[in-house]
Amino acid sequence: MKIYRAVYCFILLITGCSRTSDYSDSDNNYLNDIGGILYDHQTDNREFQLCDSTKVTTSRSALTLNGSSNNVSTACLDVFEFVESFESFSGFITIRFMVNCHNEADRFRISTMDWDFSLKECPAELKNHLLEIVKSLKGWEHSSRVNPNLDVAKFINFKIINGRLENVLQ
Amino acid sequence: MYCNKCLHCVLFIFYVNVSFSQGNCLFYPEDSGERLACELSYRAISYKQGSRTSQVLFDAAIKLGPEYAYAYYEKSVPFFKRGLFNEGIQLLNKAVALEPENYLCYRAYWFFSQRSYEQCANDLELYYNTLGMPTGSTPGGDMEMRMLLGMSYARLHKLSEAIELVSSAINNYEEMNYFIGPYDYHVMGLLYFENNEFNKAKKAFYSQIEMNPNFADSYYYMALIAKSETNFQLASDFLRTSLDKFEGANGGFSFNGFIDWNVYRELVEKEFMTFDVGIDLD
Repeated sequence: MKIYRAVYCFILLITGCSRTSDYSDSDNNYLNDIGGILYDHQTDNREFQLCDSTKVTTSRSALTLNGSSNNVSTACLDVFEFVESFESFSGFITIRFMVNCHNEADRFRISTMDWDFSLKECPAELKNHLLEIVKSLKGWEHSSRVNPNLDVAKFINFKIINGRLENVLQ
Repeated sequence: MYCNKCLHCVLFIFYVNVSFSQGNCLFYPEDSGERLACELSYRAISYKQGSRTSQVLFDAAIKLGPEYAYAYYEKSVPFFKRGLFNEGIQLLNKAVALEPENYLCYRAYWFFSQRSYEQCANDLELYYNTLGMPTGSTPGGDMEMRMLLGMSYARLHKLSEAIELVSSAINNYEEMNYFIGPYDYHVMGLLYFENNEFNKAKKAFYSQIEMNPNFADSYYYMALIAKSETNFQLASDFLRTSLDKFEGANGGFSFNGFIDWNVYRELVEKEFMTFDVGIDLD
């Protein structure tokens, strides 16, 4: 129990004295916010820059697409095209990405899940099709509810039944 | 009458706070892992959800008190809000395994919000039928969880069960020492509407409007019913009122917790346009 107490005191000390990044070596694995997405040179556009990576907003009402957040759903449903190779998949496909203060989007990340949110394999063609749809969305704008100088961490969740797009959730 | 309503509101908010709050750390023995985890979690929630500091503190809490369910639950919340569902559910599953009576409702809420209706229904059947819990509520306290179970049943093609469940809940709240929720009559109306029982739906929506005349969504569904009865002028009047409420006129508002049955301003406008009555939408 003395060890527990010592660890506890140490944690209180470091969190009480620090504000941002100077906690301890083991804290280097933590993002400023868990919703942030770090640059990956293998997949991301080198030209894409965040305006201030320390002040990312994760508010779900931070962005609109051509003036309305409801346009995201319509835009995705309109261009989704079912092909037979998608049919084996039912579940969720979530795409997360960053939109910077200039309303440019990049750093797309995708995860595929079963109805209980456990990870599940998905045909590559379906993943690529949805990724291309999200990458092609144009007209992101900061909503009036957020500071336009902030970068935004955004996600879209696709509900898929037998390879067909049922719902687009944000 | 007014005082009565106030008292109900205060008691309801108190109930929700108690249901979703952390609890008293003094319940745990001094120097136990749970006590330390509890104290660290209190500290963690004073920082921004999902921030580095709060995550460091929750991880320390989980390390010191791995049986302390609240730390897993509270750590999971920002993951769900940021679309990190798999990461969130792994944490929340641990909280549910430790204290199902306290965290099943929250897991069901997230399944419902992402339209995973079978998972939502499974969790709530476990909560009410197996554990025998009397009531539960959504995190914001807007709805008793039977409303979500009813709507899930409706999407799982079990409309009769849904209607029976919700009407029985509304009729038995008093017996359960619970209160009619701010949207219960509306949910009742939605289910009757879905089942094409328009007279019963109207009665429920009128009860909702009587309880809160500023709620935009019920007017929209009343308009759809009037339209189905070919009473186009009345339908147009309801849509106009709904739009006014969406504008915030006289305290008007909407609520988007019904997921598949959510009403948006654009939806009301689109319906309004079908009447071609020449009313300026601006």
